[in-house]
Amino acid sequence: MDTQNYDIAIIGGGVVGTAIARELSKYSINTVLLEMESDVGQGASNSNSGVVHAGFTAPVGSLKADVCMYGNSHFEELCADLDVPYKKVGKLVVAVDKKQVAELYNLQYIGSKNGAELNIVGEDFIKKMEANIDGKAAMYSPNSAITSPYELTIALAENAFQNGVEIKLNTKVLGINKINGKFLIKTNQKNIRADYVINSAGLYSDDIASFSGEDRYKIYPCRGEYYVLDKNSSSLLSHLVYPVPPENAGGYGIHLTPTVDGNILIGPSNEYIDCVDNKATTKDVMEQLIKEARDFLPKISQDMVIRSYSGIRSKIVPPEIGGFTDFVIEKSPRYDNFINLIGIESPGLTSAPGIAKYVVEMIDKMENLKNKEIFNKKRTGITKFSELPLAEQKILAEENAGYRELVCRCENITRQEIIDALHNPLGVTTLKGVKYRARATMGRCQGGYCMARIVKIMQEEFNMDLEQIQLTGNSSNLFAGQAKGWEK
Amino acid sequence: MIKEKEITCILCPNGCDIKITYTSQEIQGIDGATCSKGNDYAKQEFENPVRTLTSSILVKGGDSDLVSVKTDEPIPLEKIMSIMEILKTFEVKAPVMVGDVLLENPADLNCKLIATREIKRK
Amino acid sequence: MMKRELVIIGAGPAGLAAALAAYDNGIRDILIIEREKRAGGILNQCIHDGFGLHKFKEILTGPEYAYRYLKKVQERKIEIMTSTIVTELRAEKYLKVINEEIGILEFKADAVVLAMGSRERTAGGISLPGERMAGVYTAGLTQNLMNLQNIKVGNNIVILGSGDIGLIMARRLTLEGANVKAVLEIMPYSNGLNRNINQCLIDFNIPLKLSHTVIDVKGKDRLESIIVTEVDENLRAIPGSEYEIECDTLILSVGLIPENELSKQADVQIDDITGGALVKDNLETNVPGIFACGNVLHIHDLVDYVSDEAENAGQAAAKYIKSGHKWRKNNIFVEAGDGINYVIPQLITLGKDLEFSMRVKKPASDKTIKILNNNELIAKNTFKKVNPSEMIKINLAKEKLLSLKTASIKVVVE
Repeated sequence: MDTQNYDIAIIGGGVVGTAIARELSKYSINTVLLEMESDVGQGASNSNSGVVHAGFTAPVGSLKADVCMYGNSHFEELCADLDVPYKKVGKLVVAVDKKQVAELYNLQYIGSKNGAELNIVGEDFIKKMEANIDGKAAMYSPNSAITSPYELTIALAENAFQNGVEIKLNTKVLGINKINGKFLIKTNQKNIRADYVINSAGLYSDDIASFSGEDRYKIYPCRGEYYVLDKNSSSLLSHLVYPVPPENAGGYGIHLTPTVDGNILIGPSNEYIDCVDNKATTKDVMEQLIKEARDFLPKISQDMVIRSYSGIRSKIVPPEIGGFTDFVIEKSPRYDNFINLIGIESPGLTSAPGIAKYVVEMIDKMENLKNKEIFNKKRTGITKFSELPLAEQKILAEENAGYRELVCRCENITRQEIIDALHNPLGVTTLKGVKYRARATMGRCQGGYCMARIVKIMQEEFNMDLEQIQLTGNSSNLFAGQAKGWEK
Repeated sequence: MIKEKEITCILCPNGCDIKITYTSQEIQGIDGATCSKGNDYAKQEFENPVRTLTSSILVKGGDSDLVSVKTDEPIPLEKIMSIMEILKTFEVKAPVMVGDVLLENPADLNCKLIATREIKRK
Repeated sequence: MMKRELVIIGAGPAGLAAALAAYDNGIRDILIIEREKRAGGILNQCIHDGFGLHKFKEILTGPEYAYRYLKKVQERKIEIMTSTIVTELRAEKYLKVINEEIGILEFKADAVVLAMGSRERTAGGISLPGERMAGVYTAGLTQNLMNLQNIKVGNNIVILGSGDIGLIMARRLTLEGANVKAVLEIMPYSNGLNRNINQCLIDFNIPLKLSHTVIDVKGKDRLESIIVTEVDENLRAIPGSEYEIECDTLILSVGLIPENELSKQADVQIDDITGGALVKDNLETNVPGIFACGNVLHIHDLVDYVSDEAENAGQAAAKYIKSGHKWRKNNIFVEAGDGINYVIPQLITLGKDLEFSMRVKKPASDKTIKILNNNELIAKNTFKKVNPSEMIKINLAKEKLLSLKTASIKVVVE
């Protein structure tokens, strides 16, 4: 059996796994990242609110508070290094009645202990910041920010890859055994041998942990559904607007989030489900989303909705208890060099850089890691033509025919951006790969206009057969074949 | 025994519901049309429904892989699939002009297949 | 920045007809901007027949209908800039465009005709429940892929929505060997033309299930099945009526939305019912010198009517260019009253022969459409059948509007 050898194997290519991969790529150590999907970031990392939290919900002194605060203070720099959008828009946690005001002070207490900057503000202040929002009082958090969670995950993976980490997609771990002091990881592709295993498998982290003989963990999948509003409603909202968190709900309550691209997100709902991969949206919850959003912002209407989606939290708090608990990051009791990351839910995105540092420090204590001579912390993303000033657009369009053809009219994405997305370092050639890299199909027409064009580019530029064109890999073929002449 | 068949007229927005009474393929009566064209339509639909077939066929060397086509005359509805079978692999070469006859008497039918779109050479 | 007298956005049926009318009314400096490689708009993918009965007294296919107009445009040497997308439109009739050959260009026009057509309502737009796997398409996209790119999207197909494109695609896919299992329609009546129900569904024994909708789509990578339910008169699912249909493809034909993103940039006022501009009887929007016609103004059922409307817009734009903007007195609002969904134009003046386009809210037989002012009857028209899927046109001679008691008229169906 063909087996490949590495020092460290990371299981799971979400934002945490890729952040660890990038952190490890600073050191002279041979790392592989295994991801079962056709791209990184296909779990909760691409289906969350994209919020960089300020740290007022994590209990004081918890690991969660530590890594969240680290993340919040380092996020801007990280996004700048990785060419990922980041906007410090600030957050209002809005109390709709006097009773809730007390809860704001409780949040302020926790946050302030954690080191967050938080102010309690009144009605006038709210109106000044968000003319369309009604509230009695609010807690204002100036350091809350937004980012693009999927772009960040892709960027972390690409930067790790540039610095020598191998990224194996479509690679599902089937079993792990310790043989002759090394872990033998059985996968659906080639088997992997590694000295360390880092389990950052999110919803599947309890299954992976059980391979190390650790059966203590159980993940309770908890689904959150979202609505995405058309960009042309973006003027309705400029800050993150949250309700006072409901008690023991396991979520922050349905909130309104402006995205870095100018959409508004409504959500997420909060519903424990039986199946870890049931990312369905449901009629009942969607109706609830619009209703609760309108309680805050009555100008929101159903016809602003361009899409719904859901993400699944990997919670370790069972439904009958609810609420949050601390992240679990620990060595397996049986094997020191098997590190389990369990229950990394919100604020997992914010915490990813801190978690990566924390995990690498754990390894450093055992392994005494050596810095690489050359580590390139910079990664450059695809040039976003529509965001450039007119003068620069003119120059680019003159030089390169790829910038003269708009493939996506909703998001103003050029042919060159689609080609760049298809040429990504990770070798992802699915339609969703293009979507998460270039934003194509994310606009109000949801691919009605651009999909036929992207498919043409895939066929012409990349010589892909119709049968190879997939949404997300596996058997997600988009087409049945040619209409005419397909018997030949 | 007298039987009935309902046909919705498609000739104008009125969309008359026309009832045909018949005995073993012999029309006994046509009811419900508000104009004589409706009667004729219902009779035709009952006895021998005909349709103009529109589809597309492969073009080699053109600025598009397909050229759209139609039959110059309506053909019996029941014969449509037999033409589609031929069109599956039938090919023409660019250029093609609107109105060009691309195939005569497909499936032994008394009709021509004509191009409905211009295809230039690549 | 280049100056042009008339810029028309879109070389579909509306844009082409508007250009011809402007030319024939004396305008020579006309530029039509088209994002596709060839003119014709959506007609290029509508290879079925049924077009032109009203304009040409014969039945044409979409590409043929487009070709007739295109030839006339070419005969007049009207410039069409293809492979060009307008990325910005401002109220001062400034346009920023990007052309595949030249790059970015800027124009300043005396008048602009909006003729951008429409886009399809999507799965997201109707909040389709379920997961997000491959195999869910809109009908127009399916048509584009099949008729222009030779791509068949699936084999076992269910169509949600009985709009005309959905019906047309039911037949088209059947002809190409797919198994179309059903067309589902949430309303108790179809949104398609009678002709299409007959020739696209009944001809091929495809069941049309009225008062049915989809409540779940299943499958991890590719669609595997859908859960269908019957709905009651309030369009709520009837518990216990659910059943599953195995299929690899769900095609949505759930409506078109006028594509007015550019119009909004130019501060054009949008009617919340039509989704298109609010226009005067000369099809001018609130922005002087910006006119709208075709599906960008309101969704049409027949392309022939698009051509008619566009001719009016082209003519009005020509007049505007030649004689400039005129402030109008005696503005009268046209209200869509009981049973009427909308009426175009929304604003009229006295002293002009008028033509109204409208749609009713629900199907009915033996109805009278009345035009009222202050509850007094000005004109009426009777119909054997009225249907939301079919646009109704009513003419009103100027003599009928000599004096009005209030500054609005109302159209009702009784």
